[in-house]
Amino acid sequence: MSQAVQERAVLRDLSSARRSHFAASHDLLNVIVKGYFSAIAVLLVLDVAATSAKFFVFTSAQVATFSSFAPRIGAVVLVAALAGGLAAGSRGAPLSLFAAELRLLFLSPMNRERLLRGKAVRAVVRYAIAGAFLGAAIGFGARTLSPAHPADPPLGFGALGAMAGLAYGAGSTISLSLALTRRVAYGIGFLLAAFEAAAYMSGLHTDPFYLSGQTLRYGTGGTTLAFTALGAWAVLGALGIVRTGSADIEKIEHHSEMVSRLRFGLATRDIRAVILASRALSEDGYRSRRAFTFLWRLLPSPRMAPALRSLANFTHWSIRRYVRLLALVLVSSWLATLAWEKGALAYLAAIPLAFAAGLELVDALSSVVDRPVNFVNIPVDDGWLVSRLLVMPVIIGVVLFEAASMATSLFVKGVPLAVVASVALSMGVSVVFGAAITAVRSGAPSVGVGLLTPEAQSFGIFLELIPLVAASVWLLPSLNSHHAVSLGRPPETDALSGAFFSLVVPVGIWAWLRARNVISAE
Amino acid sequence: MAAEAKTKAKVLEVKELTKSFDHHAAVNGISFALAPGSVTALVGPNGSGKTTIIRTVAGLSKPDSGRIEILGAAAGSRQARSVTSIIFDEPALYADLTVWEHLAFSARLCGVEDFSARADDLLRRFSISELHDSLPSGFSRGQRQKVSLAMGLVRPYKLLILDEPSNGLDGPGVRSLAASLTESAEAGAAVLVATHLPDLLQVCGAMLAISDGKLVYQGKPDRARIESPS
Repeated sequence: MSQAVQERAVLRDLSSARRSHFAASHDLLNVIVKGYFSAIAVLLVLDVAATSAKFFVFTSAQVATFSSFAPRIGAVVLVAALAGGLAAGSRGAPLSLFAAELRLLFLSPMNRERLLRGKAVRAVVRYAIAGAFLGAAIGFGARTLSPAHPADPPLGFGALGAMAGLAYGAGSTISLSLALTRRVAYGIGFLLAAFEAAAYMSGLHTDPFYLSGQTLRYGTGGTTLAFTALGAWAVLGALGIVRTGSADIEKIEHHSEMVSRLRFGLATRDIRAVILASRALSEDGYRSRRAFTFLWRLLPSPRMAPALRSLANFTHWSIRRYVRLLALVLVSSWLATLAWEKGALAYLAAIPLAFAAGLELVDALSSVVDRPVNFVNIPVDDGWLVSRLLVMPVIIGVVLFEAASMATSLFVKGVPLAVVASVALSMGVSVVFGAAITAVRSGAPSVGVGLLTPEAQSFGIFLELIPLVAASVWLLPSLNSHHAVSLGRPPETDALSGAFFSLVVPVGIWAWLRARNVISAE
Repeated sequence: MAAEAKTKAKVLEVKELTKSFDHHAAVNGISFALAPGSVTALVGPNGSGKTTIIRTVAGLSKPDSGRIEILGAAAGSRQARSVTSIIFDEPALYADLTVWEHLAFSARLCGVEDFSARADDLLRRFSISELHDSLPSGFSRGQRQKVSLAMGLVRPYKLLILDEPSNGLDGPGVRSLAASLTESAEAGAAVLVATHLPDLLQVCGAMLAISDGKLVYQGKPDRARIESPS
């Protein structure tokens, strides 16, 4: 028996042994119950989407306009996927290599190159399938929303999704195998974007991205072109897989460690851990470039007022985080403004994004939760300290949301400015305080889930929703003004009153934090 | 012939090894060699570069410069891995494999199929025979470390490297470990053990002291150098 055959046989036995224990250690009833609740959640979302869909029905003119731009949109998607893959590969994605696997397999005399290629095959195929499903789902939605049009977009959209998945997989594996630095990877991504922009401006219709993007054109999916383009991207994916054998294990290991932390955060439903791990994954931890560090040097003393101390975190943020925060604020504000015309679905999308922006803003709080020893010299209780630390995030949040809402309202007709301003004020305040509860809750020692009764565990789900509910109080002025319009009244006064009422939330949270301290002291 | 004899006299040869992280030299121009049948302690404060050396010898980190050869093969190559067993300070076990399966696959991945007697002996030696068919989810830190040690010792090797192997071990565990190191050396393997424990230093015939990525002492074991290498 050759060495390769022997290795494969041992690996097969290893997988089989792991599978048998995995199945034995998982409770079937638990899986069924989880599946049942997941199905209910999915159906609920689909129901809300279907109900809201009537607001989004596409006209024939809109479909025609989309079709004329479709190849270029497809090209942009592919360029973004390829560039994103290159950037991800420079950080060690897409392979996962965990400690036990590293010790048992990669330190043995097994063929490391073959092991890495096997992982790369699984990763690239997974991305292609995920892309195909996502594209097909979007295409299915597009078909539902354009009932008057005879086209069949799921196939074309699905093909483009698969190509985007392959582009991402190929980009990341090639970048990883060539050990591209982040600077080089981003540089190539920028060049690709510049190439596509130049192709658009010069009206070039023969570049590979444009040709592949043609599959997105309404109703032309499933053509020979689509399969040829798919084949070309599959070849690029295969090239990435073949090259992965020579990838740097250290880089993959570092990335896998971050993914592992993210999974742990998700498993324990610790939102703060998830946020921190996501940041570390996207910024590659400590190596990211910091913005405005010079401002910190201008500040006089490390024992400054807590409100000013929270400013230190903002001066140490990376440029990437500022960009992410700006994108979150802009998109959530735009969705909230759009909801005025399009209905509840836009609010549903805006709530988690606004909450995520709040989590970015309360970064200052981590220093209290994680390193209380830094604050022991300040003679105050935690509730007071937390409130003071949130002064700066609230100010920044309100300014950002006000600016973003004003800017986005220019593109959405029919929303009174007083409504936009009121909602933005409420957004800025409530998302920061909602996120603050998350930070404090996840930093506090909690009772082991296993010790709680099923009733208490069920109640725990409601408790976990408290931060999200607090961060969504900005909905109050929005719904208040919608209600006024439905009654034929001008909405401005209702929006403003709703906004001011929602400002009570911080007071409530402050009281909650105080009460928590008193309870924990007793 | 002379070159072959020279290679045979050195199981591990590290020459001018340098490795940096973010412009900080974790290991700076270190050279040393290990002979068969030797037990060598690698000491130095936290962050001095011990683990970086071990990871580079394992082929998990690429050196910036320098050369590492294990019985004449480049570190990380299949040939080098087939004769090198490495045990890290943090035990990492599959949650869905029993103790016995861990040992079995550790041996089988190295092409050894008649491992049962050796595996049973190691389980007895580290007092974990009763965990034979258990999954590691409920194990203590010490029990996990014992399984990790047994995995490293059940496979064949000419070079045995251990990074802080006594972490989490009880007294009998440390003594079993010390006995295993001596036996490995007696069987002709070269052993390199990164440690802070004087107990393990007793079985070492040589010592390498690292400070700030540099080799500051090479010679007979010296307890004083555990605390202050330079």
